Amino acid sequence: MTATSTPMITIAGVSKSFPTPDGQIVTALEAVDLSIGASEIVSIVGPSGCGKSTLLYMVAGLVQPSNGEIGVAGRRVTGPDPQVGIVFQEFRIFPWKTVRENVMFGLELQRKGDARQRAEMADKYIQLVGLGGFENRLPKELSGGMKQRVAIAQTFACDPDVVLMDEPLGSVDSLTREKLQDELLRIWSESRKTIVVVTHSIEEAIYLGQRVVVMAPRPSRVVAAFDVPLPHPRTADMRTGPVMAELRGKIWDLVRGGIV
Amino acid sequence: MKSLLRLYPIGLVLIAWEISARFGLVDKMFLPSLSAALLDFWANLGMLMRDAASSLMRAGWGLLIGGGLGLIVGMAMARSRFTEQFFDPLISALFPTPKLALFPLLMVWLGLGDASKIALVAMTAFFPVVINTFAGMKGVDKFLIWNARTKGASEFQVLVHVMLPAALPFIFAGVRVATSFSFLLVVAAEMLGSTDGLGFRILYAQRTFEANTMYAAILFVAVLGFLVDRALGLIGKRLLAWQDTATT
Repeated sequence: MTATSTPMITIAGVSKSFPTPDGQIVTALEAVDLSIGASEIVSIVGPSGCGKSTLLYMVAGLVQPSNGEIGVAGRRVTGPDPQVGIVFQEFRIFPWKTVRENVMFGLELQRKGDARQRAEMADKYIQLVGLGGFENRLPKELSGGMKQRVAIAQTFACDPDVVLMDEPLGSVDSLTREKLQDELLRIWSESRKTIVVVTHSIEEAIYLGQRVVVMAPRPSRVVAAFDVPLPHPRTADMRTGPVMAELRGKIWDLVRGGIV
Repeated sequence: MKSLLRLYPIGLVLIAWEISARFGLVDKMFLPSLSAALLDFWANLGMLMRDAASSLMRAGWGLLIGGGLGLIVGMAMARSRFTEQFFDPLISALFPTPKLALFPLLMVWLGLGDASKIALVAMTAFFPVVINTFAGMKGVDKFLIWNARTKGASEFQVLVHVMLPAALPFIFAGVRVATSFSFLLVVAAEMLGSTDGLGFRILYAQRTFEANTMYAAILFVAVLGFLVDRALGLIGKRLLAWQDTATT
């Protein structure tokens, strides 16, 4: 699987700036160029405030770029599109809906199947993220990590071509986290979706991605992109192997340089 | 049973009332005993029930109209900047105005019948609902709205499936305040100009020196208000069971 297939996401000269109340212009993101192939899984890593979330929101059509253009599947992004799913940071699921109702929500909006098929589809994804038995619970009864898994199931159940994930495993404990990383990779390899994962964990970025894009703050920009020379499926020994160590060191140096 | 036991302070006050009246600690003209008021209630049951029906009907329609308009205007204000800028100064100016001061005017316009009371209650119930609906809808987490939008929700679906449920705790609190306002206002309005209703009955009994009937009517208003508030409390508990609040 190479990154040279037809591009699914093209980001060309995209920047974002905001006017502040006292009349100044703050640059949230400086001219980003990035191309992500269909069925590719790419990690974006960088410290807080490097604009990685803003970049995802723009690809999802939720925030308009100040300059440049974003295309998904050859069409210019002008607003949200059900073919581009996003999992937000910190479990933004609906507190008044049960786990099943949350996962079914997107299917209802998109009128996929009848009520029974939607429930079956939802249950399949609830099983997949390891929440079987919690279908009728309300979010308030779940831990942060469990809510995050509901959010992941909610987005994947809609079967979008592109899945953007903003620190999807940020609030999951480290044991569950490794399990969910493998689960995510398994879903990716079976579904061949294009997946972009934003994370602040360098190890997670390397373990998940075919490519790792490194961003740095002040000004927020892309500083480098690395191909990860590890085959899929990834195995546990790769988490600590020599490739991981070398790449981790390279990225660390870049990020450290960017912060100072 | 447990929740009934928690009402013991009310029981204590009622017992103190009965004792002080029985032993002649106060003039029976000023404070007849609880038992005398209850007996009078039973004797005048039909009349008091008709009064209560009139009062509840007026309060209910007023609440429905005022609260309904409050909900619609509050939603419109949250959705459009223009509507917000139009209604905001009007609400700021009119909310603190005692609506009861307008009742003489309403009587001239709408007469002594139901319409003037319903209008008064509606004007009063409108404000807590519009203010809370607006605040609740403005405070909806942006990411919940984005979550729905990226799954293909239309503006209308976002409103129905995200904004209204998310704002429901606020809206419900507004409705509860509006309901107690409705009780206050309908009784006051009936005292000022009416030929029936519990407010009218209280004032009429006072003027005809029927202290027992007056207290029977006052008790009835209090019990009705209490029951309606408790019912709303229970509805709220069910409707908002999803809220992740600290429980006592």
